[in-house]
Amino acid sequence: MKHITTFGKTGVHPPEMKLTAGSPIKEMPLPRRIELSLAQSLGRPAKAIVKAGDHVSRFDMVGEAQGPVSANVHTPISGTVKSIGTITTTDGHGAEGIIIEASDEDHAADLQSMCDAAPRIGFDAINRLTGDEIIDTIRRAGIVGMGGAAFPTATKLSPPPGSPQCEFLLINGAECEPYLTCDDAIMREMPHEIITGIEIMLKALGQNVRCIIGIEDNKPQAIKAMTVAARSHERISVAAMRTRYPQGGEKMLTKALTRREIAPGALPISEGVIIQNVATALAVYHAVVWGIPLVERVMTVSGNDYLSRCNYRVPIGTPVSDIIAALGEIPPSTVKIVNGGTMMGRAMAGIQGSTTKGMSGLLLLSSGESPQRPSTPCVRCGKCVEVCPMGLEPYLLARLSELGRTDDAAAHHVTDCMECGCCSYSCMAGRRLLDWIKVGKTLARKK
Amino acid sequence: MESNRITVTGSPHVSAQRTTQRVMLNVILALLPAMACGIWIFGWRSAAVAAVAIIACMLTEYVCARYMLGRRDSLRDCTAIVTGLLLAMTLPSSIPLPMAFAGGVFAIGVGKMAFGGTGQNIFNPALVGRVFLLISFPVEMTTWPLPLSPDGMTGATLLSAMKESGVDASSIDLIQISLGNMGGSLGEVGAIALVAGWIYLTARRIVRLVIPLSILGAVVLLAALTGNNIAVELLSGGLLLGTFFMATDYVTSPMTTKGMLIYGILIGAITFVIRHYGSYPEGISFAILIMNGCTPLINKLTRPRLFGERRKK
Repeated sequence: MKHITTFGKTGVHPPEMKLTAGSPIKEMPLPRRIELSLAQSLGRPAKAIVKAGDHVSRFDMVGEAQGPVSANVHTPISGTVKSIGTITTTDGHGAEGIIIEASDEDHAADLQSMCDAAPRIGFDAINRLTGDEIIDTIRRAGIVGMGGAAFPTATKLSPPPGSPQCEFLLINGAECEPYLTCDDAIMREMPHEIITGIEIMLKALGQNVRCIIGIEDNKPQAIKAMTVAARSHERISVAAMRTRYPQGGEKMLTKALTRREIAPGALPISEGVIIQNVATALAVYHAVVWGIPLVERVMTVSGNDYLSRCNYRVPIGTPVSDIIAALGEIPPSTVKIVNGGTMMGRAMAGIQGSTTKGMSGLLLLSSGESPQRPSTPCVRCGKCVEVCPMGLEPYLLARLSELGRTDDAAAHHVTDCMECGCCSYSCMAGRRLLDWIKVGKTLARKK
Repeated sequence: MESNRITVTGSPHVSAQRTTQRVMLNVILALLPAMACGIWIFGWRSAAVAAVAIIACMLTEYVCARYMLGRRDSLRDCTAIVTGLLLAMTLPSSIPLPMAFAGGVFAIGVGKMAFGGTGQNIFNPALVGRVFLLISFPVEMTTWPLPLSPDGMTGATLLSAMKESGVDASSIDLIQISLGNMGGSLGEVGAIALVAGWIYLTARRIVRLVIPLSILGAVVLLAALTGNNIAVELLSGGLLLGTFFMATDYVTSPMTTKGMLIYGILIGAITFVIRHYGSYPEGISFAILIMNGCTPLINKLTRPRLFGERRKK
């Protein structure tokens, strides 16, 4: 283990609330009905390549990527396509989606195929794969960044011609969001699989790329497991990082692990860096070694009053109501349901929608955990400026946005805000700074 | 079912424990030792002055907020209590109570509410009140009761004694003045109590070290360069009260570390210049007010560095 590093003096350290830290990954029973969103990555939604009434088998591709910033969608269950049209998403908006229902025979066949599963290729075969073959497999498997941004992994691994040479593959195991422990769980339980996934990506990136796995020091077991698994690999090292939010942000992670700063508006590759999440590395392993497309993920279902909280392996497209039905009722004290972590996650209007590739958490929060605070006048204490990891002036941006002075907000770099929420979190006046900054950002982008 | 209880807001969904009210209550707590020191040295009249100033501030704030801004809850953040207490602590304990009341009304009415209330004012309201009284009632504001004297004898403060009667700084008993045994306003004596309050606020991370250290650093440096007695310079007058509790006011001080450094150094320098070369014996009030006025400019000149921004060559 190297010395402990971090990205600087900005950011915050909210109560970690890793309630599901030691808990093993639980398996969700295969659902009989899934609602697959076609808009699961950045960029354009995938296009449905099946029609209502078609029969599909487990792992079949049902949605085709539209352009490089879009990703294929596969079905985690066999069944009959019920309908193609608008489905409800977790945030209450509609999205283009496919509904698939399994009959008893389909369900039985899926359970059998799970028992029969075997690796597609052996470990020596990995070494014979070429970079292009690997990237093609990753692209076909519909793998996207699983930390939340959902950028297609294959596109990230093949930077456009003319970009700087990639020197570092940084693997994000920071998991700096409170509550979430899904990355921790896979690092503890499947370190060798993750390392193999990393090796495969390194092979695609070429000889001169080194890999650093960054893990925050509140996950000692994960650090240990990954360090042991990476021991025989010269090009892969594990770095412990001092727990600090938002360390999992790409700019902060790059700073913490390489001391390099990505310029405003630039991509990590401008500093010779490519970043992938640990869950993405695991998905790469499954795609290349087992031939399984991205159809499931581990997510954290948690909340202080939710006693059946756990890390849960869930097929993508599972209705949220099925998860609640399988794990247990929502506690009556719940005042907020969040998709993701408490700092950047999105509040849900209720138990609705279905899981996606980027959904890392489902939180059921009581009023004690997520209190509503009244908003009082700004006392210009400067805390928001002190904590902003991007070096912005949140109090000013929020005010300018509120007044509709979009040009001034843009001149003060409102569009560089990464929406980490450190400003709203630390505001002693309870002002919802980020809400206004998001408004200003949207307006500034429109101009 | 649940849907009527579930709230939807933007992220983040958690917040730090700190609120404005809690911070202000902590500031009041930190001021209490020095206030107790004032009562011990100058008698219960100190408490009466403080009570009158606080009541004046709260009344003025309530009336202005209620009838001018249409806000009913503005007293809840406790900023008016802090202003009243700070104002009282800059006054002589012998001041006629109606004057203390007038000071409180002016501090909040003109110093704060005229600008739009909490967070909007440019100048520290307590100091606005104090300077208003100093200019309006110069005799009452510079008549200092002697410490621990029950018969109401008055005398000069250390700084005016040194300035006007040529008292030698080396003849002053440092232990006596750090315990507060000197003439002065009811809250500025008692250096040990002030330092204790400041350490408390610093330990609770309510105030940062930058402003106090840069003010004191500037004063020490200038005193050393001009051959003045450093300890007397630090312990006399309202320097500690102003440095710890007024210059660090969130609203009227700069936002960034660099800005705070500039602000602090200039406050220290102006204080020193007024003390030694101006016509007033003490300069910390004016120094803070002058730099309060410069704060918007300092904020503009000391913006934080954007992450990843390259220095222009």
